[in-house]
Amino acid sequence: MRAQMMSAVVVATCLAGCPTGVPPAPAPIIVPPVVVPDDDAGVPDADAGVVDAGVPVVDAGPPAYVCPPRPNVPHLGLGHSELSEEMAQAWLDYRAERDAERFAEAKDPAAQWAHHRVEQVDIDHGCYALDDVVDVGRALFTRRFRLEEGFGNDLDDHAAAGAKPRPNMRRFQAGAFGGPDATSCLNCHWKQGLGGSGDRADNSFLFGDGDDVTTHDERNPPPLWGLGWVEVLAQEMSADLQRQRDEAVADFDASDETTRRVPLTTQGISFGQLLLSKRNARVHVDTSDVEGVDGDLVIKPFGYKGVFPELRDFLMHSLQVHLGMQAEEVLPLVASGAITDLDLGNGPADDPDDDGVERELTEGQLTALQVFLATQDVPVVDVPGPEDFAIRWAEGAELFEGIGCAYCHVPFLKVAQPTYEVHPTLSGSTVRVDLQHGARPLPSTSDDGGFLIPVFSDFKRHHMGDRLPAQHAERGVEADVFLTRRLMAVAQTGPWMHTAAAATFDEAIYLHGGEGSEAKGASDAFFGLTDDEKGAIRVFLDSLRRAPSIRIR
Amino acid sequence: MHARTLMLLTTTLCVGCSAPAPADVQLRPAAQRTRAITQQARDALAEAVEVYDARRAEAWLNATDVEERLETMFSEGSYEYFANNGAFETLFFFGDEAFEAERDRYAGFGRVTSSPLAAAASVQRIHDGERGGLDSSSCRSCHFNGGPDGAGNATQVALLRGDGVHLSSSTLRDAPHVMGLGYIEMIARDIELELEIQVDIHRIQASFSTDDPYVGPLQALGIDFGAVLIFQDGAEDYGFVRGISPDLKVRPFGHKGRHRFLTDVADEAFAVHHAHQSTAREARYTSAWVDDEPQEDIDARQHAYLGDGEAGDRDADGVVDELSTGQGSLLATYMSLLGTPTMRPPADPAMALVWAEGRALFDDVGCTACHVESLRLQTTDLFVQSFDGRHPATWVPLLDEGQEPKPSRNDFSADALGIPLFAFTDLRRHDMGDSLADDVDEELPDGAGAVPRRQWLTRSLWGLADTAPYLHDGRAPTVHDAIVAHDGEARDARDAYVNLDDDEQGAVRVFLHGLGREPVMMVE
Repeated sequence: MRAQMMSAVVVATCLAGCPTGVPPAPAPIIVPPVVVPDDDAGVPDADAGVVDAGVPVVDAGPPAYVCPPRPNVPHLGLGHSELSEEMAQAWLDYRAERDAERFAEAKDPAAQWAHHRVEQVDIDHGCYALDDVVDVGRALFTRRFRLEEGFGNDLDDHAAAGAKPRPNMRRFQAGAFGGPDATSCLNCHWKQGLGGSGDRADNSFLFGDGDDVTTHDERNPPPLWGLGWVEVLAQEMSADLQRQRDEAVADFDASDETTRRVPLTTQGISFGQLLLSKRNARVHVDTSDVEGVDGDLVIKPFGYKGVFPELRDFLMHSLQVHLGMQAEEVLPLVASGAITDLDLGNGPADDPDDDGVERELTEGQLTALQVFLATQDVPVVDVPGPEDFAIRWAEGAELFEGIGCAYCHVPFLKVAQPTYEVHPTLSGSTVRVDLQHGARPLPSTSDDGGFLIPVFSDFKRHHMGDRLPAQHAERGVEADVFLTRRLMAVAQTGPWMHTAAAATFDEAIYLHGGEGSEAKGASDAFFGLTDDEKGAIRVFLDSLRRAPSIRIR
Repeated sequence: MHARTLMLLTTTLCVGCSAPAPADVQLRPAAQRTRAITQQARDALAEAVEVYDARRAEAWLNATDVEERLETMFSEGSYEYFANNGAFETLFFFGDEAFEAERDRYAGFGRVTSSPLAAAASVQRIHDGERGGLDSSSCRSCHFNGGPDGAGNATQVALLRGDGVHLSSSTLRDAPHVMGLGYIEMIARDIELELEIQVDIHRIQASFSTDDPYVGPLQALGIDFGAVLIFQDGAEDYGFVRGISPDLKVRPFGHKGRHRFLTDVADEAFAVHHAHQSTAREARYTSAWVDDEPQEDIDARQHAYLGDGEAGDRDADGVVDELSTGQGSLLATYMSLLGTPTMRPPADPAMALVWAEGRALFDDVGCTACHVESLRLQTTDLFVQSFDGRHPATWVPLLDEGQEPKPSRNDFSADALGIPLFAFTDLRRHDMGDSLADDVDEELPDGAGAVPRRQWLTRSLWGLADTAPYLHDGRAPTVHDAIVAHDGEARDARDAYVNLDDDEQGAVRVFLHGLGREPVMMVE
């Protein structure tokens, strides 16, 4: 859908003013992927990597597209979360490859970096299997970036950047420019495995002056599992809300009514209502009574305050503010004003952070990172085995609902169509991944074929009161307003809350109960329970985990 | 938003102006590869699952019974009971739990508070003088990079001795890994003993000498520690001691060479990172350090290191006696018992040759002048000190009870006495020049003076491969950056490295990346 819209836009725009001197590029010829011989890797199955673009393969004409060799990065593929001897062996093999890579890297880092430089055009031509892309994404996720790759910056006349030599690191971020405050994604997303949450010591200090701690907002790194499903879920909910709006507007337009209230509900969650009216025979949509989501009815499931609609947005921001790695894609987006809340620096147009490195991360690398994250497994509800704890768990589940936690932390939401789409903005292509191919375990299915995701969130923003300090509004979201945190793997992602101030569940629940918090009632109710009842709720929360998975440290 | 993005972009760049419809591609999984399962994989998995199950059972108990979390909060009595009965396995188990335990308000973690729960917001990332943080909730928070008991990441850098508010006021310290430290402490005691004996001998020789002053060189395990001057009137001058403080004590812990004992490391870490004050810490910093010390000096010290709360609760968090001396001893014993990092040369034969070349070059360019490849243990046992100095030290036969891998005697030539420890350090301080210097000298917490701002303890390099970023403040993202940043006494070696050709430099780095650790399979 997006691609169609995009082509329409392209056509329209080009009709208006295409540069005339540019000769038309030859039509791309799409061929099956080049299979790189690899003794121990098996052979892709028959349809692996075949392009699904509806464009016929043409035999004659320009030379066929030549795929590069498969990226030479350690192989773990999708890295399923299963406790099998095969997975144990896969991890041992992966570790051996990592060791070998480490030595190769020490010897000749530039040659090794070249293996990680996948290009979007090769992905678009179907050169890589999903596993290959995930391997590259994982290699980037775990990589400690080097100066020669663009890590950090070399600005000294840019107020936000500071004035130390490269990489010019700064533990507290300055404004929209950031740090860098880390050397790798894994610095902060490490607890209980790749992509986990960070510790309190890993907290980011955002939006401040880069020195005085009181000017910053503190943010604890959240876990990154199951986000492919989360993004699809948010898109389906957004589409549902927008459909309700569009249908109501059309119906209202055709009616004689002068005003109409339109309640918005998706997956049983109310998002307030629209107020329709007519002015000069045109429909006016008032969104001031919409709750928990912006007036555009686009649910933005990423960021503590719910500000990023897609993983790709979040990645571009994080790579800049935490690592000073400037994705090639982000440069034109900032230059054109499409992204306004990032400061890339005042260096040359092709190298705004002035560290002498252009195209610090290619469009294809960003895609690889995004696909790696999107195919991570969804955490599960892991009911205790021993009977006495199972009984307490059941009691806890009931109380969780009974005292009102589940009103916002809605246990299960449903994904109808698990196709994840990646939209690289430069190439304009669409890369699709069937999330059922992602890391195991898959979410359970409902009777009607949907997938039940144990998100424990309503995907809405709420006022959280004065026990959760924050001082900056973010993308228009008020300081005390936060997206309902998903409780996926909550047992393994402490300490909790946006500043990691809570070391125990009790502390976390206490922090919900400040003045002005929508969760005050539920929080107070918890502290009115008996010790046994509180224990039962904690046993229940402790069951929200990632399925036990293997890792080598 | 996205549509707007695209439109703006398209307008600006006219992407695909002349191209046909953009690609629409479906990524599909590759065929599963079949693997031969090794016994190693089976065993490692079985062990990891066992640990996981035990942890899981622990978590349910913790969830239902708040007291359960306190099981690792050892009293002096319980520590001594296990230690005196040689139950090192038990101590290791509880030490391991304590190292990973999330500390919470309930157990006195934190500072000023009216109720334990309300203190949740009292986290303080920038330390406030010597009292510090709190900035993390478990030891593991900053010691997990590369594996359990590992180093810290760039994000986990400690911001010490600041004003509590400004980043620029603080002193940055990267968290080192904590493996093999028991052996390091043993070597430090070996050196101290050797120096003590030498001073005694020098006193005797000075009494027979006509030199005034008599110059007595100090050297231990082949490492130069300067000299002691002994005058004819019997006065002694320790101003020419080099690499360690004038008291001739070896402080092998902390980037500046700050602590003699692991118990001191543990006690200070509890205090400054978790705001968890031990009873013994209070005793140390509220008592006189010298005879007839003025009360205002003692008060100033108490204020700086403890805070101004009531006796028994100097950090005023409402929890009295929040940490026993036994807790520090437990953690010190646990860290001592940990295995050492290992040398892991490349498996690939061609790369192994590069590694060997690198090892030779590392020596040739002069790195080993300070990063001494190995020191030889003269003793086999460790005595874990109690922090209060009142309880007897605990005897830990490390070479018997320590975890694998542990140092072993692998050569038996006549001139090679002792067991080699491949730690790549000389355990002494060196002047590293201005660019690496702190803003101020660092006052030692035991009253033995200050370490000059440009001086740093030679960092041990074992385990280095898994401990990026490097240098005391984590400023160097790679080994190469770290080497190039060396200055002061290391300038010649640095220059020699820089003057190598690319392949030779690469070989040195390959060698250094072989300083790793045994991988651990975990189920999480």
